Amino acid sequence: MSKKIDQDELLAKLQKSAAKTRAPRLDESLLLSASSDNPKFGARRFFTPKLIVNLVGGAAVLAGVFAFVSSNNSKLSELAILDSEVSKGSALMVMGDTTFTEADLLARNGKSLADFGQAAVGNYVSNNPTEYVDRMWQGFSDSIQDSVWIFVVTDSVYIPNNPIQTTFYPIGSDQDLSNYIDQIGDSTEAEGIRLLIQSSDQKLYPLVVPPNYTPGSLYLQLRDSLLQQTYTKVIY
Amino acid sequence: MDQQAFVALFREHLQDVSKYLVRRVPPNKVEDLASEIFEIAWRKKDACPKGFELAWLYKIAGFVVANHRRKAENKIIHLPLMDWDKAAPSAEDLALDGSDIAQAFAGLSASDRQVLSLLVFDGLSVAEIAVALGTSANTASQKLKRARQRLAKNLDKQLSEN
Repeated sequence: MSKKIDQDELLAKLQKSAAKTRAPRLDESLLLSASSDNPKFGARRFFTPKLIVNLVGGAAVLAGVFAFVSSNNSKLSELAILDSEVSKGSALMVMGDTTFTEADLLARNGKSLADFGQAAVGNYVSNNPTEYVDRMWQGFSDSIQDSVWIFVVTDSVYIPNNPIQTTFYPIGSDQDLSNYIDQIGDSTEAEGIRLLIQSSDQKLYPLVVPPNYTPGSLYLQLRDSLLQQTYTKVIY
Repeated sequence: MDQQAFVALFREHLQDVSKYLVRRVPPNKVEDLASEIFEIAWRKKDACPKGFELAWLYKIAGFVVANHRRKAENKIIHLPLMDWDKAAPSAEDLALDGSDIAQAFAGLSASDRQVLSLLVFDGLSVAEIAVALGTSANTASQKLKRARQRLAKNLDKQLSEN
């Protein structure tokens, strides 16, 4: 690659304009520590400790607000702490009354969840949308579905106030898996319903469900279900 | 992959990661962030594409740097919805010399600075840049082409003004 840059006068000039910097010497112990049973940093979590508030007394309300599929989902209190009302001191989360149109659900500003999601997942740096879509394509098993949260991403991130009545099974006969993966993985212009889905291990996965008007498609199922919902904003 | 194989595979990239980081964060943060990068790499080792280990590490590093900057800005909760390019180095990060080309680079968007930096300063190939950015080689190539065009345009403007 350096040869290629050398042949490109502009890039070579840019390269030469940078001062030499001395990078700190890292040794193998760092690798050993990172791959040990007790790494320095540990698993990263979307929900930061400083946001954890006491939701005793509010749990029942929150369960009604947030339960996607499982009323005894242990993630309830963790999810609730995202709400700014809670972090401002309220013990209860205020149920939002936001509704969406189909246009709201589709990508905006040329950005797809391949972009939005990757940024919004923040700490989950190594999420792999392709891997996830593969699972989506094959359909969730019940055990996975029982612990899934859905966040709808528009200009902010919202969670539905009631369960989404949709199962994640094949998206439609006119969709091709590899094209679909290309779309969410590569394109910043992919259009569709943008979702963040949180699995039982607390990872958030980005997903775009492209418009597909084939009867019975996941898009239509999701769209119809989502349009009937009211939402609470969780990330601004 | 066991620990021994992991160490053997990534040992040669330790300094590359250090250099990547020192172009983007203060030197006193390099070791901590490098630890974080390799911990993630260890947890996700099975997802590492063979032959693209360094690019894959840079992909992780990009997110780690972006997260670090977000935290530094105290914006853990206020997650911006698009900051894939938050790992892009600025002209100051790269200690550019203030020449016309340096100013032209400084005038680029974060996205352009990111993709050009991966090529020019981090030494990745187009295929590796694609891995680092989580995109296809074709998209990476297009991004590079457009970034280079904008760099040239900025430079022309810079020269005409001087």
